[in-house]
Amino acid sequence: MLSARNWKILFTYHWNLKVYGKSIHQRFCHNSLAESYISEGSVYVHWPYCRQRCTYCNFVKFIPHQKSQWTLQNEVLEDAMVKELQNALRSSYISTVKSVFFGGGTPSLARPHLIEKIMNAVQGTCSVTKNAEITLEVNPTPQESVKLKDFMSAGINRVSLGIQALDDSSLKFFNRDHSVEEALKSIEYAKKIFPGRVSLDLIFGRPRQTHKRWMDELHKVLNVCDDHLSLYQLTVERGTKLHRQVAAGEVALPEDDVMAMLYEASVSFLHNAGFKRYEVSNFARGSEAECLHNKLYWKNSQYIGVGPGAHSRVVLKNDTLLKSESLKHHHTRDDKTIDLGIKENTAYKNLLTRIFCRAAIVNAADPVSWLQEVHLYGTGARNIKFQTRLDILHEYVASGLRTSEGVTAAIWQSFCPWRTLVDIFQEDTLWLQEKNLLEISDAYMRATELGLNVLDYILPYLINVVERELNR
Amino acid sequence: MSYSLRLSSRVFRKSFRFALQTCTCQQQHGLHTSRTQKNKEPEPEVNGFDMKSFPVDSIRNFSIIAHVDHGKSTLADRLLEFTGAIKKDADNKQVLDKLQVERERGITVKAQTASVTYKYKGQTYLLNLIDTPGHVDFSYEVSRSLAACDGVILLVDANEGVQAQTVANFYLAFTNELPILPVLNKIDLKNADPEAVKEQLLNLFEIDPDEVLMISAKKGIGIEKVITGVIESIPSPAKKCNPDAPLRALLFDSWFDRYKGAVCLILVVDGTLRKGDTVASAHTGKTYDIRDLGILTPQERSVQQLFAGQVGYFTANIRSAKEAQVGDTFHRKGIPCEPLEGFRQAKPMVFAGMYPMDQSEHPALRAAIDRLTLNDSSVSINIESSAALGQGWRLGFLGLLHMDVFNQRLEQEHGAQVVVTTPSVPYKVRIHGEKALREYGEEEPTITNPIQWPDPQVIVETSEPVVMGTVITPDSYLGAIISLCQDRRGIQHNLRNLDQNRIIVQYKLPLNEIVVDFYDNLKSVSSGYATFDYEDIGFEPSSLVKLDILLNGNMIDELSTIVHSSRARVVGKQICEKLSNTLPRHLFQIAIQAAVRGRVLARTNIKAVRKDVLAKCYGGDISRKMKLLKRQAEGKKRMKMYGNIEVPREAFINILKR
Repeated sequence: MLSARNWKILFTYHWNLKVYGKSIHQRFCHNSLAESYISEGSVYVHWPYCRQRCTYCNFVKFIPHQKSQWTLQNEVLEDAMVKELQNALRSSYISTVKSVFFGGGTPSLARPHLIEKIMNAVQGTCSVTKNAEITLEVNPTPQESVKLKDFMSAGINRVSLGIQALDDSSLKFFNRDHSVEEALKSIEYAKKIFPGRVSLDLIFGRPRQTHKRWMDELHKVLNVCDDHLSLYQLTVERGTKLHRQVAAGEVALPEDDVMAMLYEASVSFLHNAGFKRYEVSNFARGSEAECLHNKLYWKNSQYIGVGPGAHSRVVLKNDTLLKSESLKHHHTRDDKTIDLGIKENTAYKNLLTRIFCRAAIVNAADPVSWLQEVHLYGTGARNIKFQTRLDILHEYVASGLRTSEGVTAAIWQSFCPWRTLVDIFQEDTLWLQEKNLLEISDAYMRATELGLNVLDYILPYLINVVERELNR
Repeated sequence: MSYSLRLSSRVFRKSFRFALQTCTCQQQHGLHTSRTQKNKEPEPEVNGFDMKSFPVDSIRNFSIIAHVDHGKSTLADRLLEFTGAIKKDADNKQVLDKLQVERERGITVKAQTASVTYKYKGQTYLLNLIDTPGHVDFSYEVSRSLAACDGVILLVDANEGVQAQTVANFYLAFTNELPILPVLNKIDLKNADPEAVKEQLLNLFEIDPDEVLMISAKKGIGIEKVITGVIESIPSPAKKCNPDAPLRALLFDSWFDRYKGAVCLILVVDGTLRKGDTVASAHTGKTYDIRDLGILTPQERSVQQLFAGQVGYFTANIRSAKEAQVGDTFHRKGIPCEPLEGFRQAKPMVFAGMYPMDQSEHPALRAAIDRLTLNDSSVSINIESSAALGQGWRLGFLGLLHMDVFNQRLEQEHGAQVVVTTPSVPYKVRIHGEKALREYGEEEPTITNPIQWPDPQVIVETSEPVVMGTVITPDSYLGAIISLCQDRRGIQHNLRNLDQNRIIVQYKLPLNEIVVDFYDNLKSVSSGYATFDYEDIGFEPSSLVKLDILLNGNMIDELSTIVHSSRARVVGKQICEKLSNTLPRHLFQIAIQAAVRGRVLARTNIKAVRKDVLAKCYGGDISRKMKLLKRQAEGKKRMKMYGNIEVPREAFINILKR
């Protein structure tokens, strides 16, 4: 039976067939990615509502009002999320889920019941690993703190508190729905319920923020925090109030060099306090405390996004799409062999650049359209793009290098068994290595501490290297 | 530059009218000719145009000189109407309507001629109105047109008075020793102040106020006075013509027709020109058979022969505009004659590089430039290849207006975006040393591109083109205009009151100081009231240097410019600042330097990138990030490396474009 989600994908497939001609058919027939890759994944659940609008936030979010057309009943929203999740898991090869992340929006506004339903759905289709990480993003308000226990009972085992600043005027400037005092209480409470599993989100680079003020704040943070911190540089995103304020000249962010200084100072301050920068913006005391879910993103794992505006990266079951095709028997689940029977030198290039093997899916952003899609097709997918191995490798380089682990030879190998990391990057990145920005060994390619600060400057070169080398 | 918009479109719309009157008729006539040729019938003489019946003394060759918008073409229309050459109203409008069409087809802006007859005191006169391009960019062409005339009508708007262009054109006529018939136009308008304008004419040109005719071309007032004035005060060409000598004809204008080849406008100075004659160019020595011969009434009308003193056109299957050069003399094959004086090849005075915005548009741009230059032999073309901008051309123009018109048409007709580099002028460099002489092949090479600039060690002397600029302005702006001219290394030549509140001031200015934004600045400091014109007065020695731009010590050839030594520091600073605003930051600091002969005159730094990494990159962010990354990666491919510095094309365009 074709699931509803697959109906939709099948439609996309036929549309592509029309556009690209027969060749598209070939391009869909094999994913041939390793079993170990396609069988594992994580789940992201996007809660689309917030209590109020933060001035810097451009995420998909809605402020519910009674009678506003985008406000859905909890029950309705939860059920649709479950439905979408079930369909998505079924149309993928995922059999093991390693993490679930409830983000938003403000998912702590949801009923703890949602967690239960989602976890039941996951467990109904897949196995959840024993040490699976189930994270909830929480706004540090008293109303939400009281729900933490129930969230824990429902399955949450890690929380990420969006405290953003330990400075009331900043919180006001950001239009946050809590005070510093409330945040501090929430942290205390959360640490009791999720000891060692509490993360704090902070924003630096705020208007008129000086080195001293920020260091003082970080000191305070260090006194109250658990073992995980995320420090985000304030960025001005289109469509936000902050953007309008900056454009109108009412607000000025610190100069580039000040931003850099604030960041560098944070990194070294936290380093001295035992926190390792395991990703550009993420710091953990001990590797146990690192966020598994996010690490899976950066490792290029599969993830299924559920809810309005959520993104997915997932290998879809082709054989359900092309059941009747004789090519079925070509399908292999073998880890090592690439069963294409093509002997030419160019075979792997075709695999890299022509054969689609993973889908990048974006869900409809507004809750009502999303809900409608889910009702009609079983999925809220609005935009489906199929990715070749080359696309996947590009993404892996761009996200993997953000971590201290870097791009590993093992993962690289799983997508590109034909050329090693060293083979591809060594020569073309000598200048970056000489500048002490990049390290390459048989096991990995990593940005150095220095390189991590300017990663986005380096990435375009690396992307071009990948493309040139793999098309050679 | 607003210069192009204001002047060019106006001047050329006007000039087009005449061009059109001929061009549209050419086609009709072309059909007619081919039919008669097929039937091999002798072509009948046109009624009333038995050319023999116009002896030299019944001929008047004249032109109208005027500032833009002073009513030149309206007066021309009236003269044609009055003499019955064209019908009133309806026809004129038609002419205008067709103009748009013709304009889109890309007919070159050219002066045109119309021949009319007029009976006065019992004698029929043949009046040849020879139009001139309105601007002294085309001063050479104007002077050739004037060489075919024996007098001019100086037409001045009674409201606006004498303008800079009027002055320049007046002096051209004056130096050609042509009698001048002064006419004030638009006297019917409320603000007309004929007495004040007469005073200007007296002050400036010593024109007797009693001799000035007062007309309104629009209303048709005073047209007859103009015609009789032409007959009475402008001499016939008898003095310079000899009907009995061997053929000698002055080519004073030409344009290119796709089917007939070059169409040449000529004045028969000596002898007779007949259809079927074989003529030779004194300049190229090439010979041609006259295919068609005729006069413009303003329609083309074939005639069998043209006699001394008469003006007309011929076609002779001349396949290139370059072979029909204005100022050339034609004579009968085998009977050489003394060429008429004044011929010189068009010398470009303003150069600019033109590059397609996107290299894939190169062939299309080439086709467009070819098409435009086919008609305009005065544009010089050299292929130029810039490491920064790719393959392109270096075009030379007669002047600023000429360039602007060309660019405008290129843009309109070509459609795609064209990168036009900052205009530059030719320089002369006297060099010494055996090796240098061998390399340049002459003692004083003309340098049009900074890349060709000789090594400073072999330079003896440098000189640059200088112009005499004329500004006419209300006196309240004089201070600002004087300081503008002084900033541009101008030397005051002359300053006089034109009337009670207007002043004429003349400055000797280096051409390269006015090629970029002088006109715009002049307009802005004078609230748009000042008018400006200039004429070339040759090269003058000047202390010129090559200003080099260096990035961390690597010279960027494409950004070198030739400047006067006194301006090197200022220009250098400007370029450095512009570059520091457009060059992306690198992982290391970049020093931008402007230097002359290795001596650094200006410097700016671009700090190294210290932090450049996206704060958040989770599930949903990755798609966005990848999109941006792909674009950046594409951009990197197109960057030009200087040492280890990447320079995006935009940075070059930003510096090099006008």
